[in-house]
Amino acid sequence: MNSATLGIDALRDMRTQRRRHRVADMEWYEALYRVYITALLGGGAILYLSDLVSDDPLKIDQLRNVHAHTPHVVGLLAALVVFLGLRSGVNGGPIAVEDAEVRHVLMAPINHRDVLRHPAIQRLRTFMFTGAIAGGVANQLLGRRIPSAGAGLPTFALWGAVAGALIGGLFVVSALLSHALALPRWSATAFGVALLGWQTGVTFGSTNISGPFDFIGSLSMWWLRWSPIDSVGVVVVVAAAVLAISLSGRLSLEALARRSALVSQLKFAVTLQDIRTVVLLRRQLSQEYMRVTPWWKLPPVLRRDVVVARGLRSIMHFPVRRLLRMALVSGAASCALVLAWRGTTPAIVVSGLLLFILGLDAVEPLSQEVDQPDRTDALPLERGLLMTKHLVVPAIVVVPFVVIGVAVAWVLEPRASTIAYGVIVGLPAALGGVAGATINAVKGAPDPVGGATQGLALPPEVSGMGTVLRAVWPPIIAIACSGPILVVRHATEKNLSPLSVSLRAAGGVVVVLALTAGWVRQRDHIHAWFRLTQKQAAQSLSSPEGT
Amino acid sequence: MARTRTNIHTPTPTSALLVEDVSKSYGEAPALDPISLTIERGERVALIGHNGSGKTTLMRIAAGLLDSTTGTIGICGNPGGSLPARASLSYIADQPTFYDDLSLWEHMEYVARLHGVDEWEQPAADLLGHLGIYDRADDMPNRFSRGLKQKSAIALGFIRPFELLLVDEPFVGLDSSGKEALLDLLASASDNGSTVVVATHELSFVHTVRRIIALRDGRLVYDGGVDGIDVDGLVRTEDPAGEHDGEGH
Repeated sequence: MNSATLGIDALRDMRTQRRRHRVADMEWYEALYRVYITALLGGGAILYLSDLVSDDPLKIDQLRNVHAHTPHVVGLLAALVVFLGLRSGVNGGPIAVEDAEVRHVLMAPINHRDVLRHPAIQRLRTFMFTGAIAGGVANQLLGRRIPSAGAGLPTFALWGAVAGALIGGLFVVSALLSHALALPRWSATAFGVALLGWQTGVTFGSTNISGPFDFIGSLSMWWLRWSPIDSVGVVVVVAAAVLAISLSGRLSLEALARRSALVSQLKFAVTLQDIRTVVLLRRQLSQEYMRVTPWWKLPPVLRRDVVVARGLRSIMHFPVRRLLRMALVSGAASCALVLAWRGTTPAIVVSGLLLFILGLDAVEPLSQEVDQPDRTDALPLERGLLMTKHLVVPAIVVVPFVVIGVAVAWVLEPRASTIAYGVIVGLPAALGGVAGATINAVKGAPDPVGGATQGLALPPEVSGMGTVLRAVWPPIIAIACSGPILVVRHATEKNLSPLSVSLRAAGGVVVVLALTAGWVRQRDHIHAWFRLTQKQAAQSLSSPEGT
Repeated sequence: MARTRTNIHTPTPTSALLVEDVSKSYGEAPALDPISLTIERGERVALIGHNGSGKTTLMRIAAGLLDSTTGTIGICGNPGGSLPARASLSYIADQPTFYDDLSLWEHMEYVARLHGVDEWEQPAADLLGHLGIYDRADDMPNRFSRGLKQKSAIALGFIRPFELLLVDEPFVGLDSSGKEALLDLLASASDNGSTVVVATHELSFVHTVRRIIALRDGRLVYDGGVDGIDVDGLVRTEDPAGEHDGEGH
């Protein structure tokens, strides 16, 4: 028996042994509780979604619409997933093995494919299963509105699950291929953008050309009609999956080592809803480093205020990738605002979230300051004042991105009024994103110990809700600041003056921004006052007079 | 200022470590300028340099844990990172890494068997005894102190066969008995014909080698004998003030 075979045997034995350990160490009560929570939340979500979908059967023309557009729309989702998969692959995804596995197993004289095939298949299985659940639920909900076409709900769910599994699998396959083939970042991005652009053009343009992922959407409708040609696409995906798994031995050890350390931290940060840590770890995962050479050296006039100068210097070190991403996010947020203007009200949620993401990048200097509490505590400057001064730079930084957003809006709605309303609505919306990101940065990560002790007397469902609310209110502020577009739309529909209405709505956002700045300035005082009041109340309760 | 001269050894096809034009950069920040060097079988080499000079980067590239931006690595006549190269090379990293769910003894078994060592128990007991951690064999190494983790990593590095041993800052965190045990192990590895390359500032080891390779700011600044060399001077950083263009301050 040669050493490689011995090594494989050792690997197999140890994996079996570790699996046994895990099963033996498993807290069954905790596992059952997790199942209960998942069922509770999942069931609640499905019920809520069911409520959104009315039970009225679709009319013939609506059914025709579903027939015509579903393949493109589902294909667009698949194209987006492939784009994200390609990006994940060039950033070292989709597999994350333990750090010790990299050090001890992958550096041993064993074929890497024998080691990595198992985690690759595991990852593929997980994504396909998640996709199948999502696709099955989506089709099942849609099926409730389809007049009986000879198919029962299980049949609807089945084809939705098949399409969902393919979409989930595509993420892992595209990531594995781009990683194993060591595609340069630019080429993976260009390929992903080309596929996404093609599918987007097919979805929103008036063309008879098929999109690259139409077959998946078409497959999700096999309850309605069979299209054997879709099987070719399925065969291609399966072949790509087999190829990707067989190439898993070519995954870069450097990328695996980097991810092994970061992914567990990332999961922990997500569990804690610590957005700042998630942002920092994401940057490390995608190797997004600050520029060594600043874009522009600050002239003395801009260096008068040390805090503002510090913020500007930070921005001058932003890498090209981050600036491009900010421009892209700004353009996408603008598209969402245009959609909201055209009547799709929920699009303001998308816009608000995108501008929140833009804000997270814009408030980088402030976030860096928050990351160094020892340094700020040692300064002969009140923390609130320091943080307030840090708001100047993000407010300036978003302006060019608002210009980009307005330009995108003008392309979609080429009218002179678009520019005026774009500025009146877009600037406060972008500043709202900054406000949300600022609140997120200043409030910091939740205290896991404090949070746990505060919620001891409450059932987990209630204390958990408090934690969730704490995490969601910054993005909610950002979403609320995208609201004026709805007011402008309403004014136009009612033949009111959109200009005065939009100015008034923007004024409302300015009040929100001023309140945010005030909160940043006075937060420490408010907290100190609150703690003092709590202490006094506790003292008065424990004193003889109190009893 | 330290002497800066380099000896470019003539590589042989079966050199223990062959580094040809290897460089590494992260974005626009260079971590290692193109470096070429050869370490022959049986050599005992100290790799020195100030913090951030590129020692760990070079070590990790040689071990196959980092992809070089340019250049190639050869390990005992095989391409770096290849299966035979991994069989020939043992790398003890500066940051020890262990599984959460395996005891030290189980780690020893696993690593030994992964490298095709069937009769591992007695050597493992001897190694742990030599390092003074035999009584901790059933404990979880991830919960050890820094020094005990370092000793465990050393034990794992030596439980498997190797022709080339790369060790990165192994003396950090070790007590005096641990340092002595490690020096013994390194000496016996050399006596058995293995090539030993240690990145360290530990003078007790540097004085036992016949060749020093020094890096400064990612560049190879010295490669030669140890006699008459000011080791501290090689490790010292140059004053970067003259290179800083600042913003007029």
